[in-house]
Amino acid sequence: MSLTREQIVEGLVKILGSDKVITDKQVLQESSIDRFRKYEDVCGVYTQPLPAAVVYAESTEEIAAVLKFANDNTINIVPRTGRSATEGGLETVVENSVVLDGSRMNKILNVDTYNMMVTCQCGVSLEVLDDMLREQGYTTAHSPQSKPLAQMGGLVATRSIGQLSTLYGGIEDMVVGMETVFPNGEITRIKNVPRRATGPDIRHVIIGNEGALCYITEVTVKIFKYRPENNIFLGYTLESMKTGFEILREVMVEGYRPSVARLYDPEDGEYYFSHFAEGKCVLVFMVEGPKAIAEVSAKEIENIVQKHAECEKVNSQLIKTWFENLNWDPKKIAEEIDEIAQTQNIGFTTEVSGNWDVIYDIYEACCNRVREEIPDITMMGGHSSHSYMNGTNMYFMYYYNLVDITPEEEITKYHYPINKIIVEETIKAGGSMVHHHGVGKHRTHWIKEEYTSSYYILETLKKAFDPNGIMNMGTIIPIKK
Amino acid sequence: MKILVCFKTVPDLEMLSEEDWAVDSNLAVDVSFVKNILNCFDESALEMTLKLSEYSESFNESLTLTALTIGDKKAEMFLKTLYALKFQKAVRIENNEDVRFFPEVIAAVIAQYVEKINNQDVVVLGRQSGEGDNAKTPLLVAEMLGWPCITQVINIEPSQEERLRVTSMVEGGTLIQVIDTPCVLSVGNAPVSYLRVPTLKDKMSYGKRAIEVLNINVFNIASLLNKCYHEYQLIGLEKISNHRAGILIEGATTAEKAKKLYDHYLKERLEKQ
Amino acid sequence: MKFTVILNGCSDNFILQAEEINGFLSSNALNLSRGHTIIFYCEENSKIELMANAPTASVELIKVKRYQPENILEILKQRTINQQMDLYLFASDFTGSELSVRFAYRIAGSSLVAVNKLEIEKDGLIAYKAVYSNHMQGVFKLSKKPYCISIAKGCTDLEAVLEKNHEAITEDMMDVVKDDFIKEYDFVEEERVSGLAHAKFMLVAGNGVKQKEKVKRLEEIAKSLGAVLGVSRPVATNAWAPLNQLVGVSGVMAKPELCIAVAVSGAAAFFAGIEKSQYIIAINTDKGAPIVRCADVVIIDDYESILEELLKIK
Ligand SMILES: Cc1cc2nc3c(=O)[nH]c(=O)nc-3n(C[C@H](O)[C@H](O)[C@H](O)COP(=O)(O)OP(=O)(O)OC[C@H]3O[C@@H](n4cnc5c(N)ncnc54)[C@H](O)[C@@H]3O)c2cc1C
Ligand SMILES: Cc1cc2nc3c(=O)[nH]c(=O)nc-3n(C[C@H](O)[C@H](O)[C@H](O)COP(=O)(O)OP(=O)(O)OC[C@H]3O[C@@H](n4cnc5c(N)ncnc54)[C@H](O)[C@@H]3O)c2cc1C
Repeated sequence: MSLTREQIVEGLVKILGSDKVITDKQVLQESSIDRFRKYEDVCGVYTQPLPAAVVYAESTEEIAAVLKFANDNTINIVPRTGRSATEGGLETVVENSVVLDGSRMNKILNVDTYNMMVTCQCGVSLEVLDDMLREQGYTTAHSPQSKPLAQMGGLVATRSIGQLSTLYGGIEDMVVGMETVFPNGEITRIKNVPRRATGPDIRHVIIGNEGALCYITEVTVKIFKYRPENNIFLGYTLESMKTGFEILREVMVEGYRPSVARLYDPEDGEYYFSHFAEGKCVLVFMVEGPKAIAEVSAKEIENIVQKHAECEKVNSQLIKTWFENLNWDPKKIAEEIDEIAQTQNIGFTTEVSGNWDVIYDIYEACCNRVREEIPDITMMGGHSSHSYMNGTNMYFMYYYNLVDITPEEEITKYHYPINKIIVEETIKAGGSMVHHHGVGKHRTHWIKEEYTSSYYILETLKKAFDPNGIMNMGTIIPIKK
Repeated sequence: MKILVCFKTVPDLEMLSEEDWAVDSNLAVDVSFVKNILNCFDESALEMTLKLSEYSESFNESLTLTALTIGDKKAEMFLKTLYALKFQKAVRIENNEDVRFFPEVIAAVIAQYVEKINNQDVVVLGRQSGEGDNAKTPLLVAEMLGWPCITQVINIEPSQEERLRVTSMVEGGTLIQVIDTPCVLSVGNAPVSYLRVPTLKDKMSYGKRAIEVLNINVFNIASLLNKCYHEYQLIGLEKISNHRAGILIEGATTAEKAKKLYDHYLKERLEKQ
Repeated sequence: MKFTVILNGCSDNFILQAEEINGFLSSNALNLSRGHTIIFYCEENSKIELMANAPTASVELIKVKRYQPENILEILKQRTINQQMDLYLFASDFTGSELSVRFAYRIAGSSLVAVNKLEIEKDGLIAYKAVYSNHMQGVFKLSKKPYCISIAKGCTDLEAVLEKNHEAITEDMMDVVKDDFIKEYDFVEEERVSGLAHAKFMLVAGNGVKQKEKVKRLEEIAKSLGAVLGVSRPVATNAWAPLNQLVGVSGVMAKPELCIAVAVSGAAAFFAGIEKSQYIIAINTDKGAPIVRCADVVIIDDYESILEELLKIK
């Protein structure tokens, strides 16, 4: 027999005490969604089932106790830390879910500058951590645009990636070890060593699980020397995305590792670069590291770009200032809500990846189809921001005016159809439908097409680690109807 | 009714970092590498006018909206947007002179534009802008045209008989006045603060019209500037420090710290309350 | 320097205007005996109070139907036509800045709005004002008399008027009408809401208070100190305090004279809500908390013990 809301709350209070169990209606409403449904926040209309409670755990043991209680009583748990999720990962789609918030577990446990790693609890804010490290001359080198919002647990859980990824990699390249709690209350620890060949790398069961397999309570990530004085910024305007992708490819294939390598189309670039690149594409690099290496890399990247006559170099101060203003802090989030309410114009993003031979086709097909097929579009464009030896990503940005709709129709009339075009075009071309935000709950529809025959592995993981189906149901894997 | 909205694009000063605030030999801060945005009061003015225009249709009145900016080419992006939002005319008066602190010059150009080139019934402007923070332009335009002026406007609505119903903030409350034109409206802290966004389709159908570009020399800018130089000049510019003192109260015990706080920093302030 | 102060006696904030201008006059060492004050007023029975608060001994009270800038400007011009005045000073509110600019134009003088400080030189007037959206201070030299200056909000302390021997003349100029473009006129008085947004003294509590009971205790402490209690977002979202007490970008943007911030880290989204405070005192256990860098005075200690001690002293 499943428990009633009241019994669930009672059980949770028994474990945590009443202070850590919140049932205030407005809190529950705001906790029923994430930024995928930000229009619900704007309108104050909430459509998802309200969770039974939001609970704050303050230790691994408390997490374990809550998970065990949920597992025994089949209560859906939605793990949460920084609340910056964009793909529905925090939506409470199952009746009487419990949001398990780890943001109070915010202690930095150990800074080890000899072995170059830092260990912290899941609720440590990345910005707080990185500012602390920078004061000592180190950095995590992880710099997602949500750095002022996101916390370590969520960053690992979503397989996040930062703006400096082309040199330092995504979070999966940074995590050394972790402590994790599984639904049955089992607390596991993967030790911190430089490498191992002791069977499959089980870190990857945890990294990117989006709260659908286990709860991450502690992470150890690499640290790097922080030497901003060596940073060199390069910026160019150019006519076509095609040329831009070619240059990105050449830089990667020739073996250079800028930390930032980004290519904006004119539509997406307009917001940032209109003062010097109206109507043009913009190509940006930042190189860093030891001074000598940075200087040589910058010079060689310049040489590669210069072979393309359509590229015009711009003052690097333009690029530096842009870069320093790229992150989203809570103030910006609050302003955005106000702006949407006033203008009834709203924007979202969908990020995908593809090999070099298909990325331009994906870019072109998605832009064309969205512009033609979706009503009331005010902007459709994008940028590539993370390049690899084999290919790169496309981060699509799209905005539309909300015309004659109820709050609920924002998603069905606009957001879903756009997502569908981008995901389908990407999968058709052989790319991956999610580059870094996570699958969340709204791209699960295509998960089998994404995985094809390897879906067997994913499904088996879910069955093995979450047999009762209590971990963030509907995330990554769709709920069977 | 013909309505002219004057706007200015300004550098987004929030993008500058602490060390960017260096003053050069022309008493200017280099803002060339930050992006341009609509001055916030002007953005309100533009959106307010679009709302007025929509609303006027239900009064069976049609407005002719002109947007005017004085500045360099960077402003054209915004003029195109305004075309796409169905402004009938978008005008840029090309200027490369440093008029940051000479609202008299800007006002004189606007007044001449209205008197000699494109007669209007109403001129709407934001109360203050960006670098200069002069807060004088709309007032001077009114004086130069010899029109009345309403300041701190937060809403404009149509009214019967070609009149406007204007809401403005005054000390202690709001004023709602029905007025005859001509009039200058100076827009203050309005609840409407964002300009709407045109669709791609409207950008294609309306946003491609040619922007009318006028040369500022037509307006005798040299003599206007010269007059200003003789009346007043900027002679110094320095960074205002926003840092608070951050005095740390130390003491052996909590009681000692509390006492110090009270005696030195609180007592007097509490008494004033 | 011969000067005239212009004040709006039709407004509720008259005393504030007068005390602010008075503070400005004394902090800029303007010789009161060379000054004159013009006060516009609407109600006969307010005259005595208005006169008593004129910063200078020489006063001119001008009666108008209501405060309407077009009429006021016309009257001002008529009343000052043959004067050889050096400086006209206007209040810091919006009416002051409007009049200074438009009046200067009409009498062919020069104007500057929101001035912090003046220095008088032989061949001109040096005026300081904030520019670049409050990031920079500009120094201007005005060389065309009369100078019409409106002062900046909060540029000086308020100073009560000491002058006792006012000599006033009264003039009725209700018949000067330049506002017939106005066809209907309706004034809606703003509700004087008390509470956070208008609080003069605010105590704000953050997540470091840790429990609902503690917030209740803070309510009591705030009351006995004479403060209004605000909270940071976690306190509100934990339902320890109602959401209308939330301070910050998603709540109230306050501008009290005094703000004591306890157990708040001072995140940007929060700090924006207290940034405009005249004075900030922070109590926090963590020396590294951002609030420590943005406060005027800081105590590193447990907030509760400090506040309880304060109550004992008070
Ligand atoms: C403005 C903005 C910019 C962004 N930019 C980037 C970017 O540049 N790069 C990028 O990769 N992402 C970006 N994101 C997405 C988002 O910030 C990341 O996904 C981030 O990693 C989420 O971290 P969080 O702490 O906010 O997690 P939350 O939002 O709290 O949770 C995210 C997901 O992880 C799960 N989860 C959270 N904590 C745990 C835990 N302890 N154990 C298990 N599961 C958990 C949740 O259930 C949810 O599914 C951006 C988001 C925004 C709003
Ligand atoms: C879109 C968005 C909008 C937001 N809007 C707002 C907003 O409007 N208002 C707002 O407040 N936040 C807002 N936030 C949240 C904001 O970013 C911070 O998370 C929040 O302000 C932190 O609150 P805090 O300082 O109370 O808590 P914490 O950051 O947890 O800080 C607690 C502080 O208390 C101190 N402390 C602990 N114990 C004691 C003790 N015994 N004595 C003294 N000090 C102690 C600690 O050292 C710490 O500095 C917003 C966030 C987002 C994403």
